[in-house]
Amino acid sequence: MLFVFGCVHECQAICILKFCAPKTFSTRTSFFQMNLNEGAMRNIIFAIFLFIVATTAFAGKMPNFRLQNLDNKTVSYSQLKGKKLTVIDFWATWCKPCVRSIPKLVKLHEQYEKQGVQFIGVNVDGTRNQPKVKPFARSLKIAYPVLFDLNNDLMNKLKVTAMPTLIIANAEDEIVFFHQGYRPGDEKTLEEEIKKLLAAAERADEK
Amino acid sequence: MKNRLFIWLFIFGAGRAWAQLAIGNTAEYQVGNLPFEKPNDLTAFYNQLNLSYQWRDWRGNIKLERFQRPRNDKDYTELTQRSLQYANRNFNLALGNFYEIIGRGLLLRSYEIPGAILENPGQRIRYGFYRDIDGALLKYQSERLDLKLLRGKPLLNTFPPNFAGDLRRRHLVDAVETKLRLIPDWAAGGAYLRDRRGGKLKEYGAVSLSGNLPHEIQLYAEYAQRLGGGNKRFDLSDRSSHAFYTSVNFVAGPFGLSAEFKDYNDFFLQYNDPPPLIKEHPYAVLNRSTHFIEPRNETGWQMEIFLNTAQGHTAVFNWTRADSRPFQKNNRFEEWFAEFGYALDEQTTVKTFFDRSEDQLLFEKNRYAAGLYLEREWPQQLGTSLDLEYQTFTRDFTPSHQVKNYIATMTVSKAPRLSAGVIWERTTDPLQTDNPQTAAAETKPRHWLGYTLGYQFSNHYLINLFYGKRRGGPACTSGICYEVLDFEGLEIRANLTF
Repeated sequence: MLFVFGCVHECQAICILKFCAPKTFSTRTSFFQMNLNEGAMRNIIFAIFLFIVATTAFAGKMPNFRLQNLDNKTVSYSQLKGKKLTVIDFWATWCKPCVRSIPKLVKLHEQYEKQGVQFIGVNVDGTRNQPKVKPFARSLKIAYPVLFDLNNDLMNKLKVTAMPTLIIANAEDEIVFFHQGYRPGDEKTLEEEIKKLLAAAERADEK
Repeated sequence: MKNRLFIWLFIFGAGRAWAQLAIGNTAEYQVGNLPFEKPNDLTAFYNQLNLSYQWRDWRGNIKLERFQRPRNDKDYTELTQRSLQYANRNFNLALGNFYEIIGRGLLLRSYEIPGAILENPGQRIRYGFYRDIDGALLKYQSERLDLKLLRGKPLLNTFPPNFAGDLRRRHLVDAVETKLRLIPDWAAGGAYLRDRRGGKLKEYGAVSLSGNLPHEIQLYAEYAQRLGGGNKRFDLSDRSSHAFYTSVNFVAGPFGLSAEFKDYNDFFLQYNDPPPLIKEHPYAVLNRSTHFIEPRNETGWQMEIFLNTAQGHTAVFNWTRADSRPFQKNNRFEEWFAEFGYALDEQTTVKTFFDRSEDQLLFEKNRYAAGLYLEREWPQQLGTSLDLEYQTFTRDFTPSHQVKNYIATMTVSKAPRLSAGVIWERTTDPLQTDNPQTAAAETKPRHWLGYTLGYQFSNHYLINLFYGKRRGGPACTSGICYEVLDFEGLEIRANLTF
């Protein structure tokens, strides 16, 4: 197991290296036979640089996207965002874990809406299931806005690669939480995160 | 060298505001191959790096893809996307690669399925799953008017990135779309598209109407057709190149209903994606038996009813029918699907489904499927699930007429980081049991056993591991269907997002 995870990290670093230095890798050798020449060294520095950015400057910014809601009206993120936090859930009707997680999100939304936390559902079913989404959302009693990301454009902008994905943005639109997939009990982690971020927001307000 | 310079410029361009830089990276390493293929070990590495930098209303994006396979001359490193976008309250401008849709996709739809990797079966080259447009887009959106102007070359994603660009982008498309909302809750739209390919010019037009009626009823209708060429306006006969799509949905208390109709004839433009009206199933046996639409000639219906009670019980009923004539012969696809979910208590959910279908195009008759899905939450954020699925159908032309498919999946999870699972499949399908490398027709049932492990290290890293045998076949994600190849071996996927 340790080998596997170690290997994964190695792959990750190498993948970044290889993008930048295709010539340092012979196409006729195995992936791990690296020739650490000057070019490769430069790219190791580049990979370390990316790693430092990843660990120190997390938080892409939430773009002020404009998408269609369930009533065919175009709304923007700035119109919908919460006073303190905005929780965005990427989901689809065909995605089993997404559907399992929605009732838990509906409860959390009821619980934290008055504290300045706004939930937004982003449906990525595409045009194939578009007419089903409103009845589906209503029957699941989703009280927060649900928007259509028909081309997966927003999903792409936010680098979402798995379903469902939960993103929390703070009042400054900084992405402060990013969680992929749903496992039973994830809602507890999400609630803890919301509490922690609300407390941080209150401390910032007091200052 | 050019690619490397571009990345360095991009990163240093981000210089003073790191928080505005977003990076997404998907790396997949495979040791193994397709079953029955030689050599057995066809190790492959695929990586996709997406970088975005936002500065005020401007955003720059690049996508770099790399594919590598030892002893293979099909490796590539390509800067497959680069774009500059501007967005303010009303205007959107994109130069370079972008995604856009006209109406419901009858005329044009570009998309990306983030995280999905395509493999070209002939060349065995892997690449990202997207169909973008390379060109320019200008959009204006206001309360009463939407206006869209675009010009560009849509990608034909059947070809991998290392194929010549002119082969991958053969069409030059100019399009304009407007949507007017003069009456509250109603919108009327119109679109014009001009396609130039190799000196040939084709023109298309579309009109659409959407409305919200009282009692949560929604209507949508869109008609698109080729202009000129002897086509009569709003002709729905087989003599005209047209696509007509309409839908209605409504909600009444815990009930929801949607109904759709399609009529497509001679409307395969290569960059359009008309709604298929085929249910996208979360169950593997049904997802694999999906019907690929035929925009050259297909009509059909789909109806779905949902029920979700306050106690957490659910019911879904779906009826789908599609009649296509790709080879001047009528082929019918018809499906009846029912799913019931019971919330036994706060921690336990049971779902069952029943499905009956037939697909004349695939010569599959009396296709029955049933399944049971059981999920239980345990203390300490532990979760377990069990998924059992069975399918049987008859196919006349293969040696064994009666085909049976079985799937059993068990997963264990510990929120918020870990999940692990076992997937077992068995089939008696002669198209699957036969080894194409031998002269004999093998009919011995075939099994697939695979193990999965997923671990989210932090907000930034997600690792997925697969070991064993995986059955391929058609699959649909976000409404797009594609062919997944079989796999046998070890697969490690790492996602990095920040």
